[in-house]
Amino acid sequence: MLIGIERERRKRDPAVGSAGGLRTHVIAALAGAIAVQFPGVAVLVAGAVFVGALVVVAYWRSHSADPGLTSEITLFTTYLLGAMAPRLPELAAAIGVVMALLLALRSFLRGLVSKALSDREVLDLLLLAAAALVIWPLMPDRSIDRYGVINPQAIWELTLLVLLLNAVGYVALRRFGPTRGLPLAGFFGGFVSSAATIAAMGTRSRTEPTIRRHALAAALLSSVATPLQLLIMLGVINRELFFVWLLPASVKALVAAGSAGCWLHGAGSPSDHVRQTFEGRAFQPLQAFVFSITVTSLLWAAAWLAAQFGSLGAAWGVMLGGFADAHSAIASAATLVRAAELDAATGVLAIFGHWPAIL
Amino acid sequence: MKLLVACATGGRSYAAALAVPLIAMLLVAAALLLSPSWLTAAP
Repeated sequence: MLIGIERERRKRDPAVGSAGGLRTHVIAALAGAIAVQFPGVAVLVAGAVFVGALVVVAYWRSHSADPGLTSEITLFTTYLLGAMAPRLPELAAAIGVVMALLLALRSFLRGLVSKALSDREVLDLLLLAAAALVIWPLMPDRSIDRYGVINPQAIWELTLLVLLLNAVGYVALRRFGPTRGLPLAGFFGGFVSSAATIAAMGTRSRTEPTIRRHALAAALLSSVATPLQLLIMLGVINRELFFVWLLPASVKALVAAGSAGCWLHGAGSPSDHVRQTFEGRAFQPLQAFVFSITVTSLLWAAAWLAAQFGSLGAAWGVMLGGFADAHSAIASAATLVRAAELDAATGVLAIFGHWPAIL
Repeated sequence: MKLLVACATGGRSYAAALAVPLIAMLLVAAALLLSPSWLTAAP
């Protein structure tokens, strides 16, 4: 019925084909539901052939005004949904709602594909989808080294993360302009990976020099997220370290936020102009891959140190690991202190030790 | 790491612009960690 309502409203548009309205679609669905009640599939197939023939006639009558096939395919699918409904009512209802939504969003989707996205952006979107849905599941999810660090699927996940951060920054830039979009993307990107966000903003700064100050502010705002996350993680893992770090981490966040504000203050607001002319690449795949390989190498070196030199090596490993990933370094140090493998003072130092590293 | 990444992706000027605030953050945090115990002690 939802599909029928949408089709009934759309019939007012003379440019759209009219393969049935509300009543036709409801009856087609009921016909499908009746057809499956008969034993065998003969009636169901006969009904499908009949509806298919009606669809062909409807298209033949209206194809000069509307060369599209949406109305005709919708009617046929409605018949199939009706046939599916008695056995799988939830699935049939869900597909019906999605179909009605797709039909109702016709103008929006057409505008998005033909005007809002360039060919380059569509290609990047497809690349990202392929990286996430095709390559990622094919990567073996097991460590191939003795320390359990080099995991092909984990390396690809990190690459995907950087690509995604790049894409989010790009979308934010297109949607909100550099004045608001990039700082927002930078701040939230910092919760995932500050270094990756800085890399993404660096690329953006180089390719679009007009928004360099906004990219710098965004990079600094990613460093606001890091101390906030440090406090959250310590609050959960180790309360003692949390209180030790409360003031230094808060001040660090304030310094980063203040510096970002300075860059934004002098940046002006070229948003409208830039937003209209900005059509670059959403991300740089090669840079993202190099970044993930570098991070994995550093984590492997940290694991090697920990394995070779025991507790002291673990502390140094945490520091070195901070080169690659501040979050894992913080979690490692706090966990080691809680497990009494490191004393609190060494834990504080280990966490502090990764800060020069992440500079 | 951040400065290396910044230099590799955004160039030297981008990295230099980030260096000052990042180093300032580090120094401030160090000063507070090494400050008198009453300032940072756990309650």
